[in-house]
Amino acid sequence: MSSKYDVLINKGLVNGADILKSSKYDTKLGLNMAADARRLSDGLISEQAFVEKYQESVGKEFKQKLALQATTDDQSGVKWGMVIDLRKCVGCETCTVSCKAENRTPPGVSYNQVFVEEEGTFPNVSRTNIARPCMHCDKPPCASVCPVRATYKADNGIVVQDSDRCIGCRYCMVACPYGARTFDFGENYDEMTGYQEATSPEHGMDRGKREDGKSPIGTVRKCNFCFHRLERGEEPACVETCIGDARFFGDLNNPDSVVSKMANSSRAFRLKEEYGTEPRVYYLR
Amino acid sequence: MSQSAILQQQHNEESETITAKRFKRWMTALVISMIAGGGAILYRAIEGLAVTNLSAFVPWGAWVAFYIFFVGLSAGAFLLSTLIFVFGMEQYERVGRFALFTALICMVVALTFILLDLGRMDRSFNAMTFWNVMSILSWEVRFYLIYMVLLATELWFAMRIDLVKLAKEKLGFKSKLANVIRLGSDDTSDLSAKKDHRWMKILGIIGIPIAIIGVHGGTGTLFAAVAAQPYWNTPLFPIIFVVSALVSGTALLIAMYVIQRKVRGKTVDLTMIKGLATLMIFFLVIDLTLEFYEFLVAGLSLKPEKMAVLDVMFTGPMSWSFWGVQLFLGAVVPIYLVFSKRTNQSVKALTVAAILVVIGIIGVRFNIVVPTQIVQSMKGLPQGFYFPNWVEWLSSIGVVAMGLFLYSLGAKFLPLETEEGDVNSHE
Amino acid sequence: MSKSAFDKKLNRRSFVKGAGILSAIAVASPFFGSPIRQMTSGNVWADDEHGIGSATEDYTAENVIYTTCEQCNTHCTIKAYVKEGRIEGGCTSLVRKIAGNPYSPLTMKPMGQIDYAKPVAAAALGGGSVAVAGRGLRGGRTCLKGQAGIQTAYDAYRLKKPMKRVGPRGSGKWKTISWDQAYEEIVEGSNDLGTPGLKDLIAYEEEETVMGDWEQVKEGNLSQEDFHEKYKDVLIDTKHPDFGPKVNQVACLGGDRRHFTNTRIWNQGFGSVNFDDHGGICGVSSVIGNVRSFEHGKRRTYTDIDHIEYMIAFGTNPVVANKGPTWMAPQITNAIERGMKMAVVDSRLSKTAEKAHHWIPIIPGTDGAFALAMARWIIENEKYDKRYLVNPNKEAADKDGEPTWSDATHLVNLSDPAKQKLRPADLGIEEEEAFVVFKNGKPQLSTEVEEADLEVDTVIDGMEVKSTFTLYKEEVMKHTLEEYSNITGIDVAMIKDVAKEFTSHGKKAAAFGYRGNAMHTNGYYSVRAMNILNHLVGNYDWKGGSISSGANYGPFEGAYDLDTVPEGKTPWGIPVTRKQSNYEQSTLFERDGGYPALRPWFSATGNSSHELIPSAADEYPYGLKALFIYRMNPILSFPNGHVYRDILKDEKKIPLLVTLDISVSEGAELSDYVLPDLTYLERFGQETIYPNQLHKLSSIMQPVTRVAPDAKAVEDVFIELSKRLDLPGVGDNAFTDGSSLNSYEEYYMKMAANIAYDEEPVPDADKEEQQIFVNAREKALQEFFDLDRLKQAVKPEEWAKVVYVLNRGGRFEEPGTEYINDGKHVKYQYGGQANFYDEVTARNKHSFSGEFHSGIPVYEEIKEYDETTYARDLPLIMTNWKAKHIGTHREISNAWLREIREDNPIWMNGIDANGRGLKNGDTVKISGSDYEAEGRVMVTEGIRPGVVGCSYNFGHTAYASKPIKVDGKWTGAASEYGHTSYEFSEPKKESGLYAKGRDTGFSANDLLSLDPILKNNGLFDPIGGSAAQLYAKVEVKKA
Ligand SMILES: Nc1nc2c(c(=O)[nH]1)N[C@H]1C(S)=C(S)[C@@H](COP(=O)(O)OP(=O)(O)OC[C@H]3O[C@@H](n4cnc5c(=O)[nH]c(N)nc54)[C@H](O)[C@@H]3O)O[C@H]1N2
Ligand SMILES: Nc1nc2c(c(=O)[nH]1)N[C@H]1C(S)=C(S)[C@@H](COP(=O)(O)OP(=O)(O)OC[C@H]3O[C@@H](n4cnc5c(=O)[nH]c(N)nc54)[C@H](O)[C@@H]3O)O[C@H]1N2
Ligand code: SF4
Ligand code: SF4
Ligand code: SF4
Ligand code: SF4
Ligand code: SF4
Ligand SMILES: [Mo]
Repeated sequence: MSSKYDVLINKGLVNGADILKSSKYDTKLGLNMAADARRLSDGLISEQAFVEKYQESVGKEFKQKLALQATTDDQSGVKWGMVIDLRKCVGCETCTVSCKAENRTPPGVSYNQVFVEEEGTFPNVSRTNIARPCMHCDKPPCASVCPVRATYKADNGIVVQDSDRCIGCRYCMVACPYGARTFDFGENYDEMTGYQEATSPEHGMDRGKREDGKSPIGTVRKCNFCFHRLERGEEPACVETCIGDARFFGDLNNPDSVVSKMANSSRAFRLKEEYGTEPRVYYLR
Repeated sequence: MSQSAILQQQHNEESETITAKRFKRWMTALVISMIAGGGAILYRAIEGLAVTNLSAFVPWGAWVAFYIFFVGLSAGAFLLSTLIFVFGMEQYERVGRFALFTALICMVVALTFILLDLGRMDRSFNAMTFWNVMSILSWEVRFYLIYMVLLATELWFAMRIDLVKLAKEKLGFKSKLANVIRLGSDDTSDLSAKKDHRWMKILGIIGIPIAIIGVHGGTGTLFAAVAAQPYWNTPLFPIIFVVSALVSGTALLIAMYVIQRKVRGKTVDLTMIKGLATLMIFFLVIDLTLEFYEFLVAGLSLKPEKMAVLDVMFTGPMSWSFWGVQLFLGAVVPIYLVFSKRTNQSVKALTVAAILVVIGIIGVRFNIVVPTQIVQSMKGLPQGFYFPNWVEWLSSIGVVAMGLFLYSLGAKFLPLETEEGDVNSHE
Repeated sequence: MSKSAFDKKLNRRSFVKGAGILSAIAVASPFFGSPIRQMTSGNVWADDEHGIGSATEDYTAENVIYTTCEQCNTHCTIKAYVKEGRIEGGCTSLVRKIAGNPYSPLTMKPMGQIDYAKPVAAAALGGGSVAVAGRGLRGGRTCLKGQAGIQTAYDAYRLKKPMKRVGPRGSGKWKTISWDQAYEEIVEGSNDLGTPGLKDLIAYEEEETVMGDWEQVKEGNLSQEDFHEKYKDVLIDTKHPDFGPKVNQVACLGGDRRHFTNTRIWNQGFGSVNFDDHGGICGVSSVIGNVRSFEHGKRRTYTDIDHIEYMIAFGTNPVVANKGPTWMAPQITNAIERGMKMAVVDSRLSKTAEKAHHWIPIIPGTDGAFALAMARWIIENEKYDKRYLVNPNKEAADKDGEPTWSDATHLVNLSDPAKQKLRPADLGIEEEEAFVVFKNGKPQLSTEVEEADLEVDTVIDGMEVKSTFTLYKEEVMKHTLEEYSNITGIDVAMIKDVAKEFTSHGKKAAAFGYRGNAMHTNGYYSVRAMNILNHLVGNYDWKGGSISSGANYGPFEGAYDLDTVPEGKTPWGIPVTRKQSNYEQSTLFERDGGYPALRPWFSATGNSSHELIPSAADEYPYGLKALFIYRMNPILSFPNGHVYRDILKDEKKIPLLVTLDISVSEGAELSDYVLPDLTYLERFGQETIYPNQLHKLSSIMQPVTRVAPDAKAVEDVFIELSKRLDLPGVGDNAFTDGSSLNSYEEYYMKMAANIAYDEEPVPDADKEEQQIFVNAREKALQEFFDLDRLKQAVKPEEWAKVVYVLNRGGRFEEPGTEYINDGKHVKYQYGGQANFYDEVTARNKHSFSGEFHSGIPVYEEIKEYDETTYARDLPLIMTNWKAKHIGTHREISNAWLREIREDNPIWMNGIDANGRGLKNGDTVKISGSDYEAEGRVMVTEGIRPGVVGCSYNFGHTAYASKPIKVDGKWTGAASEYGHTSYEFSEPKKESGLYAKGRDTGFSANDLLSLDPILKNNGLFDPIGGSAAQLYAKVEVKKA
């Protein structure tokens, strides 16, 4: 397996072994487990076998039992999706701000926006407020165009943005029909004490303090469905706080979920369906 | 040595010193431009894209425009070279190697632009490491590399015999360089020349689809495939890309050829220039026709998204670039210059026409990249704005200077000129 | 995910990360492998997982503190997720995220709050199921302003140290000083600034003593000279003892913490009457219009949104304003979902009007006429609830199953010049508690009949009497529907529609309003007229009707009496603002020769704070010597801030000006001293929520971090000043039980005890909860958490319950008991009499004309003080409102909010814009009669032609919008964001993603017209007392 390219990647990426060495735990164990973990996820060995193989050493090393993942918090098979009820959306933009607060996005980067469309003439006027996170398209054009597969569709329905891989070419921005992507130009909220200290573990990646030259600066960013919140059992920030009670979230794979029922209602539609992107964000008209 | 020969020699020596001086001045100017541009690039490298006028609303700007411009030039130049090496249009032989070399340098320039444009330049290598079959850009990166290897190889075959000869002179840098580049080859026989030609033909033939479909058509597809940008999203788009590549490639060669000859005080092959100019206009007219249909169909279909882009292009704050640069300077004037009896016998006029066409195509490239981004994909988003700022201009000048610098070095130290004396029909 | 076999909570981050990277490398694709795999994988968009990790930044109860939001005056219950992250000289911790408090019903609509008994440890971890139910129940809702509150506390440009001015007021130059120096100079006076010391300004004497002697003077038993000699050091003016003691010249404008500052310090400590809050500019006319529509204290109109069928909103925008959007918005959207219909009376298409079935784009200032118009249709078609209206008393109402009754049948004595209600006494009957009604052709006691005649117009004992209903009907009938239509700009058909709909849902229809109909010169009458619509259907206390509620757990009494100061003073004298004061009874009446009064007197209202500064400037009735301002922004919030600015700049007008603020705001900028307060995320507090919820609740504000180490809570400052001045109410023996008040925290601990012990006391916090309490605060506050101090403030046995309450951010009644009587009525009721006729107003006089006001709501045009109709030679009517994304003037430091919309464009209808050659986004000059501002125009069909308007929340000139000089060095200023010079943002479009600076837009208040008689203040409501801030004539032209 150690082709030239692997070597290149080895050089290009952070060295895992080094990181392992920096932890106080057994490096060798880490190396072995990593290799087997890969096999495990490739289906080459069973979880049972993996657990058996490492149970003892993990126990010694971490003073903790290595156990099969409890099925209750197993979210495998979950396909996240969102429903936004346009009749209820009051266009307050709480979603936008809560997203900024949760994901601590820098100036110029916003994962959610709310567009207002006014129609008619006085006094027969109507406005529609369209809140727009990333649609987490099932056929995401952003992922189609990305030359390095920095953005891709994960099993759980989320269109992931790997900011360690992204080269910042911004092709995806041009290609997203929903304007859902913004670029991190490296700006900061200078008027806010601690802005650079409080960062969000987007996609479960704790990147520490925000600093020049460090990801995600220089890369494209977008809504991640608050992946880290989902992992800790919280709905996305924008859903939690939506004051119109217009945003709903859940597993679109589960027919009993609130979102599934809504997405199947006759009021449901998706933005720009003609693009064939198959968004996972449904709107109710 | 006859009198005239001596005179000739004197003249040559004189003109050589003049040429050398000019060359020095030229190169100095380029180096200064490169240093200035390099400064801008360094600034950009340290501070990131925040020092540009790019934004969330218009993420692609001058560098992308220049990138496709140079890819176009490259493809155009290469396709022209194939006329010579593949289709045997000997009358253009004189520019053959230049064409190949130009094509190569243009690719270097194009890739430098795109490198500059990356938010994470340090990760540019990821583009090779990871491959997304769905991504035209991903394919393009690979095509560009293959294409560049192919260009270099073909150029090598084209120069090989001259390189060997040069190497044998064992005099000066040029010869030493040739010695390295000839890669041990020392056969100068006719048979080997024939073989060279066969290789060139084969490589040319392989190169045509790579250039047309892979490099330039591909670059066009890179845009055309973006459904989110209705203005790009038409099947005609890649074709227009190819045709405009031919336009700009031809124009560039005319200009380069003439300028080089003039600078060195050498004669210019008017017939060939006229031929090339007519070819250029021929491509230009096709290009214009295709574009006309683009606009017509877009206009007639009344698709609001497309109309919005056309509106920006035709009436927006940058519409001068469409009417003034792209259409007037880049098309009307050159067509007049090439067809008017008053001007079409003048190398100068034809050269001006060629230069204008090149400039016009820069306009075309900007108008491809920018206006469609001004119009946002979601209605509620504010309108975008974009015009390159000084960092983008200066760095672009630097990169172009780098291209010209490389080109000039090549022109000086590589056997790019065909040996067979001067041309007959003088100006 | 390869982490699957690991326990999630491994903190062995680097081990896991390293292993993750290696396993990723192990499958790194060779050149061609990857594309082939991509194509054959079945999903070309999928990829092997990369860029995903297992960090979730999860937290426990030790990272959570529940508190109260103060980004606007709604005071929502919130949860702060606080993370370790000390920045030396910066902050003790990082507030990571704010959400609604899940224990509170306010922030958990419509899911409902979690069980109050749920242990805090479990509550912090949530429950629910995101996958199926879509809710993890770890946090509730806040509005966008609440979300951004972090930026209020962490504003890098905050005021961090006490400062005194260098040079004249408003020079922009400052010197930092120690707290001690600040106290010293405020108490003793400052030679270099020339400011007086408080100690020389606070002379006080009991009213009885003074007025007793004054009686002697009036009776000729005491000479004026002797009186003068005796009281010259104590009274403001010995010729006008009714001005009260000198200490009245020490005034305070305070925005919150009123029980502490007003009740304890100002009234009982200093003995000064001059404490004012924002009521006069917020909604006092609305409050008075409500209060005067009921026999006893019902201050607000709200509806039972969850069950109402038809709701009319008069000039209020509850989905993004009012108090508060956090719960009213989800309630309204869900109500609409279930079929509720809504009418919104608003001159522009507000966010609430967008959701309405009837948008009623009324001409500003004509809401009263619209309500009367509806009433005309209702009365003409007899669609009112007659059964309800004929009940003259409680028993009669009870029999009908009506929790309330009205005075519709009560008689008014029109022969009395003050037009009071006819009393039994007037008929020679000894009965205090009854009114007189007419029944069976004769007058009867209201308490003695079950039904009475609704329409009465007769003469009794020579007294011309009419029932209040008749008076009302006569008023209503003064205009035809067509005339009303002309006044209001609303079609007759619409009037009929709305009136019909309103009366087609029984008790499940109600009108409510807030500022839009109230903050006009005729605001009081408009609010009255609106209230009577509810009277007509008798919807009070009904499920789905009009509600009162406001039940709380008695924060100020119970275990500790917080409002009574032992040996406290009793303030007296005429307030500078002449609130609740009667001109005729004052000594000025004589001095100034009766009517007209030089400035208005507000006998029936408790707040006219907008008159404080201008009156002081005119020394009417007397001048001020010292003014303290905290959490108020007089320059931007009051009308005609530009005039206020000139007044405050004049050091002679108010010689000592102290502002306690969190930033050098527009008011602070003009002060002698500015003292740094703690932001709401750094301090204790308690503010009451408006009665629009059916639950009993009391929330509490408590510190969740500390950003400014040297800042002090306003209360602590007043404690220290009072101590130095030896005033009661602080230090030893500050409370009735003899306990002391040396730190403001003690006050709030006692309050928490009150809340904990109300009714059935809350359970004790167990050991674990107590530990969580300590740990969470130690992490969040570090050295600013003093457990012992908090503990000592209450009795040892109370502590565990105090912790229980604090751990939950307050106390919240469990749901399920909101309705009683088989679900017909709400539990917390008004249960009293609704008044068509208001005697108090009827007997009060307009202080210009000396004429009586009307006890029945009437429609009046917009008027100036001298009662002439307001007119200026300008074509457009300008109104204003709350920006959906900024709360008052408190959030300009929140870049996240400035990103939403950068300024306050002036809305203009397309017709008006075309006529003026204006395009959306154009820069325009807006000229009022006395001021000109520059702004941007937003062309929209969502506003009526002839009317323009904007949000009032912009126009900052200070607040770090420009640098100031502190200790000889220039500070920075918040500048606009964005790396390009492009102006992406455009009114009506989503913002350009970048916040602009803090000084965008303009102040709507500056554009209001000055009253020609007052000259230094704008128009006002002579009865309700509020500033009339929603109506000005302007012209808008291209700049
Ligand atoms: N986002 C936000 N929310 C807030 C605040 C804030 O500043 N921003 N402030 C808080 C405070 S302190 C208060 S008091 C409340 C106030 O809450 P509201 O009273 O609900 O809010 P306002 O925006 O002052 O006024 C409501 C509406 O009255 C309309 N209006 C103006 N003139 C007239 C008129 O003549 N007739 C009628 N019918 N309508 C008219 C305006 O267009 C506006 O939409 O909001 C609180 N909530
Ligand atoms: N034209 C017009 N005028 C209006 C309104 C309107 O709709 N239109 N609305 C009115 C209404 S409803 C109200 S309630 C008033 C509100 O007006 P104000 O009572 O003046 O309240 P704010 O505008 O919030 O100003 C509060 C100031 O206190 C400071 N501050 C903020 N936080 C703190 C703190 O924690 N501690 C201290 N010490 N200071 C702090 C800041 O400098 C801020 O500017 O405005 C009224 N004025
Ligand atoms: S909305 Fe845009 S960014 Fe999101 S998945 Fe779809 S194409 Fe990609
Ligand atoms: S910017 Fe990043 S994510 Fe977007 S296409 Fe380029 S590499 Fe992919
Ligand atoms: S799901 Fe999370 S990341 Fe996406 S818009 Fe909502 S808050 Fe932002
Ligand atoms: S928070 Fe909810 S109601 Fe408000 S704009 Fe967003 S989706 Fe709409
Ligand atoms: S409405 Fe918003 S700003 Fe006001 S208190 Fe509630 S959360 Fe805070
Ligand atoms: Mo208010």
